[in-house]
Amino acid sequence: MTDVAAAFGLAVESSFPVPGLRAAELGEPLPRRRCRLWLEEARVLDRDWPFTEDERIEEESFEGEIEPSRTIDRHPELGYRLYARHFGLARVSADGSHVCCAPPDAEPWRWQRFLVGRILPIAAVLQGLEGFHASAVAWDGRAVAVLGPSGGGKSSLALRLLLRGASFVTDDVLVVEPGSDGLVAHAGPGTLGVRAPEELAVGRDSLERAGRLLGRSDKAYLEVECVSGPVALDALYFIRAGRPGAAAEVREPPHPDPLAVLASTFVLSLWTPARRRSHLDICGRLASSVRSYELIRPPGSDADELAAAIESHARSRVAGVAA
Amino acid sequence: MSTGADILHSRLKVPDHVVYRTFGDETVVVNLRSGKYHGLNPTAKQMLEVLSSSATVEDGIGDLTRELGVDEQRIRSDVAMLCQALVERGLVELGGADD
Repeated sequence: MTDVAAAFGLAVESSFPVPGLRAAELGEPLPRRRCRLWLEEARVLDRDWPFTEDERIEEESFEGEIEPSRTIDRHPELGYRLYARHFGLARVSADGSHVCCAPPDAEPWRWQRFLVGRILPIAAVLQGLEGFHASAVAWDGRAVAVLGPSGGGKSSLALRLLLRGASFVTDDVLVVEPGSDGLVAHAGPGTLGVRAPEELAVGRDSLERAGRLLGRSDKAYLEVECVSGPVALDALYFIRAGRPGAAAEVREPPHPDPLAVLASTFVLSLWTPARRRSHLDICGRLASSVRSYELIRPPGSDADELAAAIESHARSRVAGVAA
Repeated sequence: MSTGADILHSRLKVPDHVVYRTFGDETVVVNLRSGKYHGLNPTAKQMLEVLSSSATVEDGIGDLTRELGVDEQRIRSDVAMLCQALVERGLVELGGADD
């Protein structure tokens, strides 16, 4: 039994259920880029991997440890071998069309965070799309993205905006593609990670209203309803630290900041000359065709206050465009 | 290293492995071979575009002097510095006028 779902601009054919990947209904349009997922044991997955001929392109270790906690190895023909402690092993074909996972002995939703948060974005990039470190929601078929560093409040804002009636597009990774008129934002999987302080602040009832709780680790993971197809990307909001005591506000910088756009790239390995060219193209289009704003976030500011500032600004822009 | 006179009589070419895109006022130039990113301000970008479409750097200086309305000696000095910096970073190549 194989389900097909759209995520990150890919039609994902999976031999196993993945929370957040909603199976497409009969006749529903799907992306033309395909990605097939299946499971395998780690020893089978490693059986033909040429360990002496591969190249390590990414390695991360926890402080004070020698053993890497995350690695990516590359082989020109066989593609990529990804390992993450507690999340298992995966192989991605060189063209991003096939993904084989060897999960650890853990509840599916736990290791599948690696699949949906890391492996699928890599498959999307290998298929010519580009990913940015951002969360996004939409109103009236137009998406706005919130960009900022890890822990900067992107997911909290997505949750608050969802509770204020916006449609969910993606959490943490935004995959975009040039469209006929600007850029389109592809829906990610319908999962949203909420940190404990935000979970407390928002309250249990609101959390239940936002989605179904999949489980908890460092965050509470929710399965949420997602937009059904790609949406036009209308605006970028870069989270910036504000002065203590100041009010949250949206500012329009005089010019787009190339470094801010380039530095928001999600997949920071897998560079080839072709990808650098297409990445620069997409970043240039982001700067020229999508309006950029700064969301000023003073220390201790309330996520709902920030969400209200974005909602009011985004809605007034859409109304202005319509008028 | 090219001398000032060499540069002036050369033709400046942006190689195929170098791409650039404009982000508002700033232009980002990428050397696809080295993977390094560089920034150009609006004047440097204008100089690069004019020089790379001129038969020689010397011809480009004439056009830039007219376009920017700045003293030719200053343009000449700035162009020489820019060309040197771009060549050192592998972002342009200098060849003969007939290349």
